[in-house]
Amino acid sequence: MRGESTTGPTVAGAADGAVGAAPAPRPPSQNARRHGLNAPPSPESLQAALRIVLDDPDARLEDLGVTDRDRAALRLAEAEAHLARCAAHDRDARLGPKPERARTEFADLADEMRLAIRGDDPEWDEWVRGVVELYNFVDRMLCKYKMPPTRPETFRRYYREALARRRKALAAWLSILEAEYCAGEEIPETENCAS
Amino acid sequence: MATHLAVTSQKVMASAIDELISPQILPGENPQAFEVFKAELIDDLDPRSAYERLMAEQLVLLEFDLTKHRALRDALLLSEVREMSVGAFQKNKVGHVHVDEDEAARGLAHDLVSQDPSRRAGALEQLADREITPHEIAARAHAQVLKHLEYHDSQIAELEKRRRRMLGDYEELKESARRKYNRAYRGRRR
Repeated sequence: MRGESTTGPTVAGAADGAVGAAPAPRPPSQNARRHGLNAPPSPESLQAALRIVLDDPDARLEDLGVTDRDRAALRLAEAEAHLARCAAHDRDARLGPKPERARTEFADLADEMRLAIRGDDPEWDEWVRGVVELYNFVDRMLCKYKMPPTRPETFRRYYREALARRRKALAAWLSILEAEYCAGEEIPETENCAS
Repeated sequence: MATHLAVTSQKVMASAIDELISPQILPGENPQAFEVFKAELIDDLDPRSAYERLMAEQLVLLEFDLTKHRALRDALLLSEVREMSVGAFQKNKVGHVHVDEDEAARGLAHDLVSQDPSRRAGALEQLADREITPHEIAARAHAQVLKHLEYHDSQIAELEKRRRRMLGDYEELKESARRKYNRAYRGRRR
């Protein structure tokens, strides 16, 4: 199920409720760990999302109880906070400036070695250039295998998963609201409150 | 007092939305243009609650990105048409001119992609004299930058898909609020 993101954050206490209990999360991928997309959202963004979901400027995380309503609101707030973060990363990857390539100490060695080029001894200079090239090669290889850049497609996937997760949390939240509206008044038989 | 409380509440909710929707104005983007674009779209979407407002702002960002990718795509193609047409004007052969570029040919190439109809008409006349059609240049330019165009095309397709999903969520949210208010209204009438 794509809706339950494998890269989404996990929040203690929210996964084992009556509101769509989530399966145990898989270990985070290297990419997600590197970009923090698998970490729980910050308390500030979670608080902000909760206030928006509940349409209550005074809503606080610590006031949430263990009712289905509170759990559903928290889950939706988490989904929104996570979606916001994924959207920001995705946009930067698509349209933002190209991130600087990572460097290893071999790139610094190559820079230092380049200073040894004298200009009056072609044989020496050729040897130095060969060493510089070698250092640069090792630098590129280490970067490629140890610190591969995260591709825009990866952020696209995170975003899709976050959107699917939000959709599921929203459906759960709206069904709870619907039940509340129905419980609050006598509904004519023609209306199906269970739907 | 009640008014003061309402204003404070609005401020709190606005800052909550700002916490989740950062403007993310990238280099080359105009913040004022973005604000105008946002105001028009928000007006169309007509959000009535804080959550509807958040989703509306998410839709604004998607829409803005779509516009951006379309503009980048068009700019890429247009610049390639301009470069290719230099060869058409200088050598009667569609393509780039790498050495000894003629200034007049460069000027005509700029005229060809100009927004000014009279400049464009002049360049088109020159092309007709050389028996080269603008479609020929466009086709060659398209083939030349196809790979780069495909990047933007795939982003546009993806963003359109996201917009459909996001709009679906937004409509569901609005529909839920409508049902709530309809019931409340009927309850009062009884």
